[in-house]
Amino acid sequence: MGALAVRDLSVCYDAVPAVSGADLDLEAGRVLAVLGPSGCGKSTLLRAVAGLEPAQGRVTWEGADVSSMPAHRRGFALMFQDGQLFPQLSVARNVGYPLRIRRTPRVEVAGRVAGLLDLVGLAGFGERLPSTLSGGERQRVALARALAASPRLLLLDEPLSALDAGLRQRLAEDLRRILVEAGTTAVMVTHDHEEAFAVADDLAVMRAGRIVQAGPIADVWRRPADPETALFLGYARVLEGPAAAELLAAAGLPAAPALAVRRSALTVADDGPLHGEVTDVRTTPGQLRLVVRTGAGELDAVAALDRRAAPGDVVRLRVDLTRTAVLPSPHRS
Amino acid sequence: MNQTRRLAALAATALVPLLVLGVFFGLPVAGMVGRGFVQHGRLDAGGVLDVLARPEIRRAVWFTVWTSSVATVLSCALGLPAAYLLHRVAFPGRAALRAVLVVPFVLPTVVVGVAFELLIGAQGPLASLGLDGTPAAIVAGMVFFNASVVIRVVGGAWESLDPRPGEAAAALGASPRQVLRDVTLPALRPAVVSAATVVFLFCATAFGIVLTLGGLRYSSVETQIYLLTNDLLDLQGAAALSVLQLLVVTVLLLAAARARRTPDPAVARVRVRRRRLRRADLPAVAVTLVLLLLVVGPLASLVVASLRVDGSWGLADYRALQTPGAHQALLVPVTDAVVNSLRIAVDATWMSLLLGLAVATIVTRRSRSRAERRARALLDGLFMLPLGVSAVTLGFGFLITLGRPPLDLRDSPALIPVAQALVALPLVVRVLVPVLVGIDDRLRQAAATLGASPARALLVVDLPAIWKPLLAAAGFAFACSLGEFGATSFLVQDDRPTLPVVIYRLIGHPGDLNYGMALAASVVLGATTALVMLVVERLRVPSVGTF
Repeated sequence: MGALAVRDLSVCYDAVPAVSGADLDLEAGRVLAVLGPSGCGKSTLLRAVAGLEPAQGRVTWEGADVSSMPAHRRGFALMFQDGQLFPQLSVARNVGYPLRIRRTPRVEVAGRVAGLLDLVGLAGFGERLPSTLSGGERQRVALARALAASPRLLLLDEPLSALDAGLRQRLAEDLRRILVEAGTTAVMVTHDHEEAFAVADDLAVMRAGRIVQAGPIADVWRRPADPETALFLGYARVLEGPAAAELLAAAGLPAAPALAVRRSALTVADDGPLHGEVTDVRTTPGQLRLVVRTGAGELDAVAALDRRAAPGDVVRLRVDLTRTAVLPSPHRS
Repeated sequence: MNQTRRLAALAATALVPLLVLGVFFGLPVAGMVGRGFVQHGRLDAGGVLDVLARPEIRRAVWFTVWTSSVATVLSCALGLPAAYLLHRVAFPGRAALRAVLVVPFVLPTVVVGVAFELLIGAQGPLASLGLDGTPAAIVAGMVFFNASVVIRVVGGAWESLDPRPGEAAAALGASPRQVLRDVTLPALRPAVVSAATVVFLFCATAFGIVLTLGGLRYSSVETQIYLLTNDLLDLQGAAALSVLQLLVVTVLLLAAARARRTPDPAVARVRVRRRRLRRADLPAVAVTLVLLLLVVGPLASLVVASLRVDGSWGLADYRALQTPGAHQALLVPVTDAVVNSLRIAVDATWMSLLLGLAVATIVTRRSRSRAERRARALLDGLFMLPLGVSAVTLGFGFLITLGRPPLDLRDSPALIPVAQALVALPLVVRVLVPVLVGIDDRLRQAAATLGASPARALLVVDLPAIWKPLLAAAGFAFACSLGEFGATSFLVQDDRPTLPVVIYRLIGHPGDLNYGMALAASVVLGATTALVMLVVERLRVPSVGTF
């Protein structure tokens, strides 16, 4: 029995369903990422769990039903996409706000705030005003403020997506470290699978208001429920029918109706079982990215940087099975 | 079911303001209107329609329409260049000029009427122009008040207007004139339409200014209502006109709401650097100077005249304020009226603030369904109605519905403050609504998920954003109440008069001393409201004047 359980949760706006019958389970101390394209209802789901949207269905914490509890009594802190820091309060007073609400003695507040700012890497920023901070710093303050509430459950709404790419990656690693160190149970909503992998233990994939797949992140990764999910999880292509069969045969596996392949599943190797003609080459800092026309159709492949390949060359390819996933029949619906 | 519960909660929170509006606005207006429709115990709608066919009534309607239209056009023509100059261009003395130009809005009509008389009247320096008692004088008075409305409303929008589309047009080869025509003015259209609608509304319901400058020769719908109820006791005629006015005002308010629906300039503001004054700004400078003359001329002549006693300078008129005037003009000294006015204004201010805050909160809370959104929009419109309903109708309605059982409030000291609070209510609501709309609801939610109860969230999220606008609204309400004349003139008791009423009485009584006292009292009243308004200006609340 997990700590958080969401059962058959639905949210409607003017009779238009935004979330339909969502179920979620999460054990204490773990981080769940809800992954889905924008507009799929994942933020609404998170807000409903926080108690900010009127919803049908049940939300329970350690078996106790909190569905009819107002947001401020649930003990679930929500960190917003854009931080939502109180603009008139200094960083330290923002972080200390949940403590002051709980009538924590002043000395203790100061100590806790300093500790939290240290944790998020902003020691010495206490007297600054939010408007003087960069986007990444604001999100760190928002995280520290949410943690200061000592929430039973931390809800993160696209915590990193407003930031630029390099910063996002660094902050994702920090976020993972901070959540693990604090032993926080958390649900994070994101549309970026890299972010989900960097931070979460469990994954729930959401599409058009429904949760289509959920489980430990490695399981979901290895066995996407359908082609769309596979593509959303970062697989480059989904092969079906004869193309899938040919690739599987080359790898020495029994045929399956569909196969998702990552870009790096095919590597140029002189002893590879597949062969084809290079149609496009692009150089990236780490490797060559090729498009190769094979018997299984156009496929993406990679090669080491010291390999020479040009459009028109014929190359042999090796299949790395750990970078593919066999899908259930696409027509099962 | 959830939705029903939310609508019920909305109804519950709206109950108190609705009740106040119902008893102190709906009831008096309905009583006044009903009085006209019911003749000899039966409904007589035909008689009301006959009234509208009377020649003097048709003259009043036509006079109202054309003077208000001309005044609206002129207010925009003078106000738009000034708004541009004050909000987009940097030059020394800008803040002072802005203060001078936006103050007239709250000056009491009685004061302005006296000031204009001094300038263009028989002994005035501009007597030779022959403007005294002409429609031109009335229109000038209306422009005096309302150019400041245009400056406020359009200036706020212009100040935060994103300059980049204009720059893009210029980069594509558009001349400054073409940029103005093709980019800037279309972007400002909602603000201009909104300002023009409100100005027309103010002009069409202007009372004191028409009464003091038009005398008996020219009469608008509003003064006609006054004449019919107060002098001729023709309630049927007054009711017919009131209904007509109410209908027109409702239509105008709907139009204003539609114009407002475009994103509010106060919310997503862009900081724009002011340009230096250039040669191309000369036309705008010239127009602004004309407006400055129109504003300063009458006020300066008022101050000068109040200091002239028998051909020399002196403060005798001001000292005389401690007396009740010559020939028993008044029952109490003017200083008593000052104290009384201040006391009433304080009461009216807190009443309109409480009501306005409740209304603004109700109107701006996020709706979760279409029905709820409609309900809130309807409430929004309902509480704007006092903006356009004749203050005379309101005052007289108070007299006939609240002056006898079951609601005998005639001797209640709260009657005048309540009436004035209702007159000020739309202004208060309009100052607060854009600010509350501008607060991101998610900030309140962030507070809630951190454990703050709704009341605590109010303290950390709403209060820091609203305290300045609240102060500004208080200033508005206070100034409005100090100068209110239309409704007060019906309700006031002779032994407890307000300052505007005293000024009007003093003008009406013969004698140099009385006239001198009227001037001095006008200066005192005008200076007080101007001072309040200058403090409001210092608060730099962007939404002041968003109607």
